[in-house]
Amino acid sequence: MGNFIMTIITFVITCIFLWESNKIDIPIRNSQLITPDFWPKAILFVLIILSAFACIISWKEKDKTGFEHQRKVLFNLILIWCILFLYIFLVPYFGFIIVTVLYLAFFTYLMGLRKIFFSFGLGFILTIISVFIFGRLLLIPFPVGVGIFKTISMIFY
Amino acid sequence: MFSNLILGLHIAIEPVNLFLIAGGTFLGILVGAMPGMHASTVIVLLTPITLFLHSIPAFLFSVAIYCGELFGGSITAILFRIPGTSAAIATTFDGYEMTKRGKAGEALNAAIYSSAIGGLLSVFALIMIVPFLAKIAIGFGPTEFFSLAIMGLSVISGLASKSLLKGTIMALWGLLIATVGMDNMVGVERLTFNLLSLRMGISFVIVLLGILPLAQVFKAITECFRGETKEKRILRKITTQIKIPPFWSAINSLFKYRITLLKSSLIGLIIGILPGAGGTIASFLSYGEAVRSSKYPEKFGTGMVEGVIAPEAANNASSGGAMVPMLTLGIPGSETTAILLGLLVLHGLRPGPMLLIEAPDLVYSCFIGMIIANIFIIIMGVSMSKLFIRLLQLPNYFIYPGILLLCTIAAFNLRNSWSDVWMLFIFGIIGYFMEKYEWPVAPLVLGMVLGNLLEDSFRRALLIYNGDFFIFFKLPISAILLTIAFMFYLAPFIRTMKKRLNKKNA
Repeated sequence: MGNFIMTIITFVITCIFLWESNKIDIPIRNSQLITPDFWPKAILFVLIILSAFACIISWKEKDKTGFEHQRKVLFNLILIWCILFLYIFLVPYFGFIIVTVLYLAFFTYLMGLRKIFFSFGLGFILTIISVFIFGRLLLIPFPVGVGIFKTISMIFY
Repeated sequence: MFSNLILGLHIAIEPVNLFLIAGGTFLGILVGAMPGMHASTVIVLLTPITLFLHSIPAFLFSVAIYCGELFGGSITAILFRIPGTSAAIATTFDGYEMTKRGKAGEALNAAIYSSAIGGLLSVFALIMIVPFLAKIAIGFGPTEFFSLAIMGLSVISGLASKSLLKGTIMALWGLLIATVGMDNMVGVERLTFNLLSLRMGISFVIVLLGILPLAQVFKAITECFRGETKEKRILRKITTQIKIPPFWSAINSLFKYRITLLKSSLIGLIIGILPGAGGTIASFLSYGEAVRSSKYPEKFGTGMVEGVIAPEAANNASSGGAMVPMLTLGIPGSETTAILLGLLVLHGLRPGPMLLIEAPDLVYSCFIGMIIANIFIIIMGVSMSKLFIRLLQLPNYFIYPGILLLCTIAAFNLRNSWSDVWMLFIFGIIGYFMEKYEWPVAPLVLGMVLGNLLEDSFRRALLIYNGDFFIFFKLPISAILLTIAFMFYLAPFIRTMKKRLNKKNA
């Protein structure tokens, strides 16, 4: 069943891309035989046909496999992904260091280190090491955040 | 030539130069092991320091970094399924599977020696036939590059043995993702959905980091939720009882697969010569060829040591090949060789056909330096691999958050854009489901690697030859490559038909 859902999603996304490909601007003075939209459209047409085949084949085979994900596992996974996206959303506002320490502390706790103090400690150490190596030595300009968070970040890099 | 070689040897084995080669190789291996970091970045960062050196030591140091990087990518590819360089992607297919079976030491050993031997063979070939190899580089035009890219794609049939339909769909998605962004020839936006971040295109490295290591991290998280930690702990205990086997077992293994080793080195050398086609294409082609010509193609992807030997020999062999257009024609074949060319110019040298005549000491000491660097790869590779293997013994709550952080930084570092990190996690989720429902990853990566080359060559060829679609079959090199591609694609079907016929007859 999961495989069937994947093929359906693939088919739908292909259709969306095909619709978007109609918006490709072709310059008026185009001296080329092959316009910029030729290549993506050619790929998308073949993809639609193959995706349709894949949908039909996976529909026929869907009864052979159950819904593999336990609901609890899937729910927790989606929760993790939401937290990940929250991390990416917050970094430009609060700066790389603060949000990354919290994010790593959360993950170390999740992956088995069931001691909050050590989780935060490990998150802090990993963040500081990476800021030193990548921010200071290799001059990668991590997001600094805004306001007071910017001031705090600028102390480190 | 012989006297120039002796001159080059005398220069390369001077203590200062030897030290610089060793240091460069070590740095290259470290850089190669870190995803998102490139030798070109490090060479550029160190340019203010190397400017104080004479041209030959500066160039030897930079070339050693380049050679070391090509091997370094395989360490994390084998141990953590994180290819440090794009040339090490093909190594993950079997290398990581070997790690899961407790054979990380064997995989690393195979990678070390096949990298070194591939690099050495390509340098020897480079020394013998530089002028002839340069002619091959000039002879390749857009039609030949298009056919080469088609040949590269034809290995899908070997990489997606379980489901060719899924493999083909993934390859097409790879080609499509490569079209997102600005069109190279006309400069119009394509498939950007009016998003500023997509105008820059979707970086191949982002997709790679997402669908390989990040997907593994998500898989590890689900296993935590399933409460399989006890079983995972037992598995980790098995996988951490790893030792690097003695070198004679590696030599034994390489001798067993000597044909694969030689073929892969040759493929790497030839592909490396072509400007724009680098270690990544070479490693995929050689992996595909190893699958195609193996008696047990279905075992590839499950932990075959041959699946590590082939791509590693090819990607290091491509370093020798990449030197050909750079030194003889002044054409850089990759980002790193472009930086090396710039270094030559900064030191007052003129890259091009006259370099062999005006500065034979530099050229030949570069060849000897590459030989020495490849020998250092063996020495350093064994010691550094032992260090990296110890990382496997670290608990999951250290490794996986570390991988998450490293991938985030690597994604951000590419274009200093936080939107790339969004893209990274989206592809991480896609990669998770791809692995869950057995959609092959390799064709997607292959499609992305070859997408731009395929499209640009196709359009340029049609422009040059006034829209003649049959030109790809009219030009001899192109026609030969397309024929080989067709044979590669059909090879698994022919093999299956043969087996069925044999069964019927039996």
